[in-house]
Parts: sequence; structure tokens; C-alpha cells
Amino acid sequence: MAEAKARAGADPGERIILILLVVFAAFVAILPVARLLIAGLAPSGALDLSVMSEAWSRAATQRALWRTLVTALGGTAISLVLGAGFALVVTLTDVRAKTALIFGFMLPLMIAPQVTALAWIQAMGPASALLHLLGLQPAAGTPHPLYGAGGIILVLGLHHAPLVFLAMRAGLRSLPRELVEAASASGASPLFVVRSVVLPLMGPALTAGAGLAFVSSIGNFGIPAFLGIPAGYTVLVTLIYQRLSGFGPRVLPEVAAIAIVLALLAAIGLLAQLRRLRRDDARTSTLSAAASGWALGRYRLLVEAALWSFLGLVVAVPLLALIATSLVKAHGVPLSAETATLTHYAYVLFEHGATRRAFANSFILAGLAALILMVIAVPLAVLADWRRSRVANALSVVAEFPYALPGVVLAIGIILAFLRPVPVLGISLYNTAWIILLAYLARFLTLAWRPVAAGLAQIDRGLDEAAQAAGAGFAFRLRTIAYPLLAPAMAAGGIIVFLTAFNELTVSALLWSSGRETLGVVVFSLEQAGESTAAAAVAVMTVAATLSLMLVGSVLANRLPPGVLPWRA
Amino acid sequence: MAGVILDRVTRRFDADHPAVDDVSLELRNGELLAVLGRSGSGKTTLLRLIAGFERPDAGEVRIAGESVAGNGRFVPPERRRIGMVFQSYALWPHMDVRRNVGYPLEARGVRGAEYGTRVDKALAAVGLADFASRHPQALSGGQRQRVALARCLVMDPAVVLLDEPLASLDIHLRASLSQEFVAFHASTGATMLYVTHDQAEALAIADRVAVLDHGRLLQIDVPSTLYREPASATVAAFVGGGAVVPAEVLAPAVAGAAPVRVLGLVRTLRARTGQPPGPAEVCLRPEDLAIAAEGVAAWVTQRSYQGATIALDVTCDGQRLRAIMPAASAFDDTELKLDIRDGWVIPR
Repeated sequence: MAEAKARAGADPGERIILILLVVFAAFVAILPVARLLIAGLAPSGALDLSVMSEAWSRAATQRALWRTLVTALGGTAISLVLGAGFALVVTLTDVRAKTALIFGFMLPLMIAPQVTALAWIQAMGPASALLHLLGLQPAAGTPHPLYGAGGIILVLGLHHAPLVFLAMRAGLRSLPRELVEAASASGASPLFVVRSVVLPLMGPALTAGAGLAFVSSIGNFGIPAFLGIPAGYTVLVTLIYQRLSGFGPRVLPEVAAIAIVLALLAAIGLLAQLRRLRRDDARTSTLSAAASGWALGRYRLLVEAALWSFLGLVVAVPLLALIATSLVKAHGVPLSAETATLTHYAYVLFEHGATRRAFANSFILAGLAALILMVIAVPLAVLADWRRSRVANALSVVAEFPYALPGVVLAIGIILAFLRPVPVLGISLYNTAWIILLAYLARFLTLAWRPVAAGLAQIDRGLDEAAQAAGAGFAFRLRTIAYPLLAPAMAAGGIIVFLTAFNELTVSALLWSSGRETLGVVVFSLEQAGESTAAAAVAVMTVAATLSLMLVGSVLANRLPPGVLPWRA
Repeated sequence: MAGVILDRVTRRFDADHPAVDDVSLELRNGELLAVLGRSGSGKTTLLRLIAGFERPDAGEVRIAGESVAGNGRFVPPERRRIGMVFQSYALWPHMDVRRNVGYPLEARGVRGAEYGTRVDKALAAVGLADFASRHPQALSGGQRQRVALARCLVMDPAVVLLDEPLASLDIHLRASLSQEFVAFHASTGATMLYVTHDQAEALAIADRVAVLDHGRLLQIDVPSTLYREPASATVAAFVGGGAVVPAEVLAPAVAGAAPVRVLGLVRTLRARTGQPPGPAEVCLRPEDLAIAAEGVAAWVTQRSYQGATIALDVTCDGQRLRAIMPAASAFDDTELKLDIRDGWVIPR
């Protein structure tokens, strides 16, 4: 500590930048969480559980908690089986076109959950243009088969399977090859090796992946909103949304009390991940088990066919259904050469005011968030790693919370913190687009920071010390050494932040105001208003934008540390 | 005027084992001083204390007469006027050679004609004028080293600090590149501190060598003195591969020599004047031993043919010794007689 102080004292630039980072983190991360805790646990200053007990004595709240647990655990189970299985096959065997397989498997994670939900609704419903094309549509008037618990569990499971895949793949990559080879040399068949050696050793990775899938499931808004609300199946997140949008800020203490329990549930899932974080060291020196793939021999074609069929079924079919819906003249009409039209695209792009504004809003908000966070991430990582600043190190941990917490929890904290004008400055952020930007900055800082920190860990610290020995101060070194060297990692972080913010719904659903809609919000509103074809058209365009950006990121990939882009894992 | 002075400097990372323990030394103006030690001896910490990347827990560091650390003062590296050559050379991959070399000037706001002249001069001094627009990745190891040196030279530093610059290179390149340091030192007259774990390298290039062990300075001397007159058994064993054997000084040393009983023989060996009689330790270098008709019996445990010479590892009176002799004089006997021609009584 004495050392850090001495350094900071020696270079005023370094101290000023550190102070700015502390102020930023206090403003966007610490203040909202603190306000949330106060509102739920101590509304009048002292500990007071009356709000808490009132909120939780309602049958609706208890039922929503139960449904949250059922859907999240069910979804996690599906994610676990799919993600772990896919990771095992893709990592440990010699199937071909692994990059394409991984890209396809990761796609659901990069596409907004509300878009995935919408796509599944279009694929399986009575009005499905695709099923009409095949003559397999459910009878008109029957309830949609995906509305309710089953549909939510299925789509949550598919949507979060990539999270388990990523954890499992990272685990497999750090599994020393000798352990697998020793088992094979002892006469174990590949399946036996997987069962007796690989899976037991993957315990921490699987726990971490399952924890992440669980936390993401309980915090997910898009899927239960699209698949649950029409069936009256309410989970905690949608309950908070309904109460807040129905009754306004006066229910804030009550939803804060609900949100605190949601945050506690998330904490359980996060504890599962901690086990992995402690073991996680990318700098392993031995060859990993992933380096040698088991030859599948004559089964290879069969396995490949199975993998691709799976991707076709869970990724391509819903997206095709979505495209089909966006192209038919009227919802429920079979798609054919006569019924195909682009009028819905023209409608959402040129006529529907809210959608046009939403495109602009989402582009500007996501772009600004990406730019600002890219710029902030570099000094934060440099101070924490090269400069060994404990304060900066603590900040990078604090930055994890707004992302790890369910989005509604952060959103409520932000509303509570900025409902009234900011003291001293006198600026009111509530009901402006800036409150959404603030939430994005808080929530996605860690996404911008991770690639930069990974990139920094690969750069010789001597490059910074050499500049220091050459007489360069901290700000000058940032400009001439850190920023240029970290440009690819910054770009990767920027792309990930942009993609996530651009597709975001959970936070903006609670923070938007008229004229400040985001794309996620208009897709939701259009679908709720029964304008499925227009919603599909908007969704298809967001998917196209997402795919393009993912491909741009892939171009950068060979200049990045491995694992920085999830779809290049 | 002194280049660098360390006055009772201590740096501890944990309470029990100081990395640098109460070290005082003087780096004279224009001198090339090698700091020699095994890994973990504290030699790199010593260098980083001078550079300002570490802050001493006690003691004072002065560069060119100015106190830069200690007594509550701390001047950060960027204001110490030091040049530094890193083991990795730390050349910035996103800048060409010219900008790498000119960076210290850029950082100090030197622009225009003066910038150009000084960078050209530094590049010419290391013979890299034709490579100015290349990027470091396109250079050989030797050229990279010269870029790193030019980057130090460009700002006329008070002292150039070199942190094991040859440690990551293969043995053939090391010999030729270490000679470049000698040439660079001779032509620029720069004050240089060179950290290394390689005793042959240290003895070959340095004006003086400081031996560090467990954070303590054991000895600082010119290479020949360090080799011929080690101050302690540790230095004797580390530098030059000498054997240290128990002995008895039979009479007080006079005019640098004393009669000593060692391995059962009585010989007159070199000793510090004033060395008292009594039990002592003697450093025997491989070339101090010779096969003779009369002497102490020794058993050969291993022979290593080295071309012109042959090294014999022998056991003699319970001690393990190494002798080096011309290959032509060697014979295959496993038992032979050794005589002691020279030796140094380690002072106490």
C-alpha cells in the first residue's frame, strides 16, 4: 500500500486517473447497489424488515419465487447436458469444421433472449409460417405449446447452454493430456476414459458453468416475458416488471425487497463459480487434452451429421421461422411466392415512429457505452496489473457485481439512485436516455475489461517500465504504449459490449421512457400489441446486425488472446 | 564524482528474508560494474532499486550526487535520467526503430531538429542508421540489443542499467553480444551496471564485479582480485569453481604469504597480511593442482576431456577437488599423486 501511495504521489497524472476511476465505480456500481439495499432493508435509516415481510407475504410473490426456481433449475439442467456434451465432442474428438460448429453453438448466446423466444414462438405456434409450409401447424385456436413452464425451461436451457459449453471447454483445455493418455495406456476405451477420468476432473468446470447458467436464468427477462406473460406464468423478474410498470415508482420499496432476494439467489450461483476462478490459470505449461483428438473413424460422419442436425434444429429452424414470419403478408398466412412481402421491413424502418427511434437510440446507446468503456478499461487494467494498484484491483472486482447481478436488480438500484436529481449538479437523469446509458456503463464495464486484462497479461510489463525509464509519465505512457498495444483487445471488448447492449432488454424495459425506446423494448411492445410480423422484422434485422459484428470480431481474432471472443472459444 | 551510491539499502518483500540486505556500494563514474549472483540473490531487486521500480525500506540511493530514494524522498523512474536494457529488450512492437530510439526524447518534449540530430547520432553510434524504419520484429537478436542500447544513449543517461540482457540467448550469440557491451562501454564512457548470473560473463566484461548472495554484498573487486583472492568461501566456490578445503595456518602471514598445512602437505600459500595462525580455509583453483612424483595421494572419480585440457575430478584426503592439466600430460591411472602449487587462504 505504501508503495502504491508513493508511486501515485510521484506522478500526479496516475493519481488523477485512479481517482476518476474510483468516482466512476462509486457512481455507477456502488451507489445503486447501496440504495437498493437501503430501500429493501432499511427504508427509514435503521434496519426495518416490514417492507420485506409485506412483499414476501403475498401469495403472488411466493408463487413467482417458486416458478423462478423451477424454470431456472430446469433450464440449467438442459444447458448442462447440451453444453457439456457439445464441449466434450467438439474438444476431444476429431470432428471437422470445429470453428463453424462452435460459432453455430454460441449463436443463441449472442442473439437477444427476447429474439430467441420470439423465434421459437414463430417456429412452434399455430400461426407458424414454417409449420404451415410443412403442413404441421397446430390447430388454430389451440394454446401455443411453448407458453408456460415447459417452453420457458426449454428456451432458457437452449439459450444458456453456450455458458456451460464455455466453462467446460476451458476446463478441458486445462486438463493435462498425460492424464487422458495414462488412462488410455491402461487400456481404457475412450468412453470409459471420459466417464472415469475426464468428467470427474471437470467437476469444478461443470459447477461453474451450471452456476452461470442458473444466475443467467433467474435474471432473464426476455424469455419468461414472451413465453410466460401470455400464459399468466409469472416469475420474479416479470413480476417486478409488471408491478413497476403498472404502479410506478411508489412500489419501488416492494420491488427492491423482491430484488434483494433475487440477488441472494444469484449469489448462490456465483459462489459455484468462485471455485473455478481460483483454479483458473490460463498459463498452463503442459499440453492440454484438447491438443489430441480421439479419432472417431467411421463414426465421424455420423457424429458430424448429428451435431449439424442439432444446430439446424435449435438454431437454424427458429431463425428461419422468424424470417418467414417477417416476410408473410399477414400473420398466420402460409409463406409462398404470392404471400412474401417486404412491407413489414418498410413499415418498421420508415413508418413506425417508435421503431425508427429505437434503432437510433440502441445504436447510440450501445455505441457510446462501447466507446466509453473501451477507454476506461485500459487504465483500469494497466493500474491493476502493471502498476499493482490494489485500489484498481478492487475496482475491477467491484465492476463484476453489476454484471453478475440480475439486470432488474441493477435497474431498480439505478432508479432508486437517480430518481431524484443528482445532488450538487442538480441534473435529473430519470426519464432520460442517459439513465439507460448509465446502467449500460455499470453493467458492461466488466465485459470491456476482461479482453483488455487478458491482452495485458500477454504483454511484457517491461514495455511499460522501459517507457518509464525513458522518462515518460503515466498519462504519456497510456497514450503511447498501452492504448496502441491493446487496440485489438479494446476492439474486441467494444464489440462484445456493443452486441450485448444493442440486444439488451432487461434493463431498458424498466428504464425506458416515451421517445427513449430501445430495440429490445419495441420488439416486446410490438409482440404484446399483436404485431408479430413487425416484431419479427425488427428481430431479423437485429440478428443480422449481430451476425455482422460477430464476423468483424472474428477477423480480429488472430490478434487476440485465445478465448477473448466467446464465439471463437 | 560518483555515478551511483547505495548507502545501507534494504528492501524486504517479506519480514524474514530481505531481498536486498543492508547493501552499500559505489558505482564509479564511467565504470562498468557487474552484479553477480544466483537467481534469488537479490541482484535484480538491487537494479530495480536504482531504477526506481522498487522503493527501499531503509537506506539511501544517490544518482549523480542527487538523492533519489531514502530519507522520505522518492524520485520516480521517469525522472531519474537512467537508461535501462531489459532482458527481453522491451522494444515497443508498434513503433519503428527510429521512434523506439527517440522515445525518451519524445517523452521529454524534445521535438524538431534537435530530436532528429540526437536520434541519428544514437542510431549511428550503434550502427543501425540503415534500419531506422524497420520494426523490432524484423530485426535479429543482436540488432534488437543495439536498438535497446541506442534508446539508452539518446538521452545521455547518468547510468545505464542492464538486467541480464544475454540470459535468454544461446551460448554462441552470448559471447559476441557481450563483447558489444564492452565496445559500447569503451566508446561511450557510460556508467553501466550489469546484472548477471553468469560468472564467466561478469569476469570477462566488467571493470569490477560485486557478488551478491541472499541479498548481501559479499565482495566487490576487480575480476582478477575476485578470482585470486576471494573474501569468503561462498565467493571462492561461486566464482571460478574453486574447492574450499580446511587447512591450518602455521605462522602469521608476512608480505602476502604464509606457511600452511593443507591436505597433509606444508606449502607457502598466498594470504592476507596479518592472517593469524590457526585453523583456516584454503581456496584451491583447478590450475593450482599438478600431478607430481611427490605429493598427496588422490583417486580420480571422473575425467572430462575438454580439448586442449583435461579436467580431473579427484577425491583426496576426504575432499573433492578438480584439477585441470594439458590433455597431453594426462594418463589413465585412477590413483595418482597431487602437488599444490598455489592457493589462497580465505581471510577471517
